[in-house]
Amino acid sequence: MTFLIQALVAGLLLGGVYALVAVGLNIIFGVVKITNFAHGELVMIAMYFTWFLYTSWSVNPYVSLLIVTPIMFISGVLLQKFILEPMQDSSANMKIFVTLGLSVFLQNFALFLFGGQFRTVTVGWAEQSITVGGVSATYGRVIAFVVAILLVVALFWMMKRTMLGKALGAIAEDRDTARMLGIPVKRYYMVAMGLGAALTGIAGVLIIPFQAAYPLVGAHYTLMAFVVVVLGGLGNMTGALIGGLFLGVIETLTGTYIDPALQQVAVFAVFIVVLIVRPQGIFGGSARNAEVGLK
Amino acid sequence: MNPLHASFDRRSLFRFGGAAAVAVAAGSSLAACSAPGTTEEVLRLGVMMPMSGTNALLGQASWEGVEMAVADRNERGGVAGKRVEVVLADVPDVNAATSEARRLVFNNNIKLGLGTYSSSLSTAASEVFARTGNSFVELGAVAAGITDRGYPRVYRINPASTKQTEQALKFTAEVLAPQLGKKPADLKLMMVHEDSNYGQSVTASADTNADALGMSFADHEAYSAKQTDLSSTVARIKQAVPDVILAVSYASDAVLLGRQMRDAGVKVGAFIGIGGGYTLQEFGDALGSAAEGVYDCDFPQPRLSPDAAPELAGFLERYEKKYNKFPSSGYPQGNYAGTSYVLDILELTGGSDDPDVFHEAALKYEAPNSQSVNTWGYKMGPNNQNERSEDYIMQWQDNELVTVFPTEVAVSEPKHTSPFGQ
Repeated sequence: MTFLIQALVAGLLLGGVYALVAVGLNIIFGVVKITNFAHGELVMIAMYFTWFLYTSWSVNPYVSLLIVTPIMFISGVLLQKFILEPMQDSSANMKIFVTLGLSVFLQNFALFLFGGQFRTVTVGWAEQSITVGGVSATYGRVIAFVVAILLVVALFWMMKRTMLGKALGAIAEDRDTARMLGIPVKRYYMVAMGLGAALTGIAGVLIIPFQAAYPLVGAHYTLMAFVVVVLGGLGNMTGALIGGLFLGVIETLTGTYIDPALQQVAVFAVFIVVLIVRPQGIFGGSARNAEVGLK
Repeated sequence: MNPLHASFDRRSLFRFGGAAAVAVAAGSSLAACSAPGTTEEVLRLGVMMPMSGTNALLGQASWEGVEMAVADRNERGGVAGKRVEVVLADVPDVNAATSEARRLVFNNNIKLGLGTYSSSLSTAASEVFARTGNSFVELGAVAAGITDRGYPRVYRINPASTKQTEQALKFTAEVLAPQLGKKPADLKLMMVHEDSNYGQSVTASADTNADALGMSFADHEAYSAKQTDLSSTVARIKQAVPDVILAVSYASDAVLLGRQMRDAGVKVGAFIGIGGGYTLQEFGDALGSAAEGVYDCDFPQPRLSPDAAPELAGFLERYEKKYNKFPSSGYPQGNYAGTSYVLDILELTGGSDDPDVFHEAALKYEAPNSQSVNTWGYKMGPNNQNERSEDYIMQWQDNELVTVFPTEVAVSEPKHTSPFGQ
């Protein structure tokens, strides 16, 4: 029984990491309607920033949240302004090509700057394990999990209770009508992209205590974030959280009880089944408004 | 209008950026060609290494060895009076390995290719060279299939996976079993491996070697090296409680597996990492004190007995001067040794890279183990596999990877320390 609970806990903690990465993608996807294939690379950049602050000025990674998050927000705004905005009215394919190209560019630029070495940050207490009833987890992973939940709650509140959230929701629902109502759509696109990138900043900082930074680290996160977002329902924050946790548990239980080599097989089998049975995602609305806004 | 914008608008910026990119690309291509206006005879070799992508870390380390060997030889007058030039191709994945090998053969008229560190890449690149009747020499990939396919012009200087696992299991039987107070046949062995061609090939060799020594693996755990979480694999290891684990990993998954085993408090008698991932200084740095006691079976490393490799000290001095660092693995050494042998063979051919002439010389040439920078000698055996290259057992001791087995190359005794801080 302890073995099962341990596997479930490991799955939930892994799912927390996926959700953490996916919520940022969800905002970008929901509002800006860009399938950002460079999303994982933003996480990678945040990890390198955190490592750089740690090795150069001994900044504790959890303190560096205060530095990395705003930097990533600005990076997101600049990315939207100078790369994505000129592509805004292009076809979906062009947007995909641009973000894919950006992803490859960022991977190789990181390789050029930092080499292929694995950059790790050591936070002694974050690597300590907490054990309850024979089930253990490191503090670092528990913190990432808790923050993922808090972020989703905060974003949910923001979308429902603030003018910013309502404006973003309106743009997500119908960009043209929002523009006619006087909402400066381009500016809010930048805000949404900035928010999405800031969330990758938070993810990168919280991941690096237990995951080394290297140029290709983002690729896996991009893939899993897309799966989470589509599973949970496009643009649905709660869906991203539950989708992430669900995916983490599926992956870990398959690996623990069947075979670790089949983890990805199980994840994508579930993904394909969900797409066939419920294309709008588990928490999405009806199939017809699958791409509708942030909930 | 802003005067800056007038003179340097967005379109100009793109044009300038495009021109700069073309200039950089052209510059790097030209660097590989002979200097214009010279009449010096040139011998050109094609080198394929993963300089970007997942395998870039050890691909770049391997390239350093090739680059140094060629530079050293050119400093001594080249090969048979010819200056050696290298056309380097970045092969981050199997598709690139195939297309770059074809480019080298058909566009650059390269007759002799070297590479590639990775078994999957080597299999693809050597196929192109072999099928076009050219020569290919592998310097770092270990999968048995590379030289077992029956291609007469494909050679390997580094040891194959069979030797790697043979050494690891010999060490297990001779040293670990007495340390753990068990007979070799009673040890509970577990194989944990990434699931690509590399991991599967090493695992198959380990099974064969274990049989020959009267041992067997109780469990085999495969995982994808692309995973960012190995908690399932770790849970299964914890439940199995093995005496000895043999683990085949690349670089990032080696660190991840080590960290998660430490975090989960997994207790094992001994842990032998096979291959590059456990060799890297980054592994020791990432794990810190938890790396203490972890064994590694791989190519000879910089910290080995100077009596076994008299040329090593000079190599390390030149390496540190050129790259301003101590080698973080044995891959620069191994590729230096292999490339030096290729150049020796070309000396024997009078500087000819003709595949038939090279083949004859490659089979004829011999070198003793004491000649190279990493103890590898040279004598081609069946299937064009070098018989005089070995893997050794190293152990992480005080954040340094030191050679501990066999005793004639060791610089330290194997210490019985439970790995991962348990």
